[in-house]
Amino acid sequence: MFEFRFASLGDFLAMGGHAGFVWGSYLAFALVVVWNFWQPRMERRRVVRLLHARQDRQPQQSAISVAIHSQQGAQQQQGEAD
Amino acid sequence: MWQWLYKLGSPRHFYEMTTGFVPWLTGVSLFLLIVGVVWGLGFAPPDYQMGDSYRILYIHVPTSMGGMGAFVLLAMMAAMHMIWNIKMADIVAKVCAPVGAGYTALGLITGSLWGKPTWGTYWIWEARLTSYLILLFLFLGVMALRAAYDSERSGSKAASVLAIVGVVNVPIIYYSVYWWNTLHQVPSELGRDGSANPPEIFIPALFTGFAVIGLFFLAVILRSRNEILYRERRAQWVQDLLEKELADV
Repeated sequence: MFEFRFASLGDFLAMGGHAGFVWGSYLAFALVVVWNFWQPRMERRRVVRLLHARQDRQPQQSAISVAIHSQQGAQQQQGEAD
Repeated sequence: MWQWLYKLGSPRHFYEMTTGFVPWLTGVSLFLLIVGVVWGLGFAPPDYQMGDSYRILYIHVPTSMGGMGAFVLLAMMAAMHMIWNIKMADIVAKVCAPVGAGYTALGLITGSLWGKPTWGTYWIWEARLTSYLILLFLFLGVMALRAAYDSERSGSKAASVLAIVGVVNVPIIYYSVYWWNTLHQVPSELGRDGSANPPEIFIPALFTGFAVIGLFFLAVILRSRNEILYRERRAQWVQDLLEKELADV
């Protein structure tokens, strides 16, 4: 059951004349497998960097201070429009 | 059991429970994959009719079935999200789509690469192939629909509806080879009579089969964890995580 079915490495690579089909399939499969590992890794980095950046930018703003600031901003804009 | 399932429905518990599980699932899946692929490519005997091109089936069959399974899971999660408004179900539904689309594309690519030496053509508009191509479009449609809305809630609702309606295609794909008498063969009746597939051909397929399933759930878990971090970014436990273990990413 566990004997290598090809006479030589060249024979193995040739896949009985179907090399392009067999290896092409396995290459496509390998690409998807690698992508499924790589994408979450990159995405994780991106999310963590994004969240760190947000943390630095707004140090624990309370809801009330946000409301006041936005109100001031709106009044300022109105003043400029007038 | 129910409590365990209930806990998985909470993003925080999902994140914490999968942290220790990920390395195990990665190890086991990669081990099964390497054994199955080496066995299937080098040690399984050649098929008496197809020669060596049949070795493509070791990845064609599990990825094709994986694509269909992924859509069923997507539809189930979409339904759970719509009916009970479970946050975690929406996260899994969202990440299922790109992973399932990848498997479905693989099913089509490996299928056509197998079809050329076996049937003499890369593609033919017959029932199994056409309904399977529609599965890929459904995945892409679900992803596009979700991305088309500015609000996450509207996008997930629209995508959920398409997923629930679109799942009707899965039994059509499955039964297409029985309902319409066309080119794609019916599945070999594994194990029911000795003539179908001898163990030295069939056993490596079990290895690649479980490897492909393991890798699917691994990808879904890894992507879900990122989605959880982002959606729960205002929660205290994420803030704590950011300060501790995620500080040096």
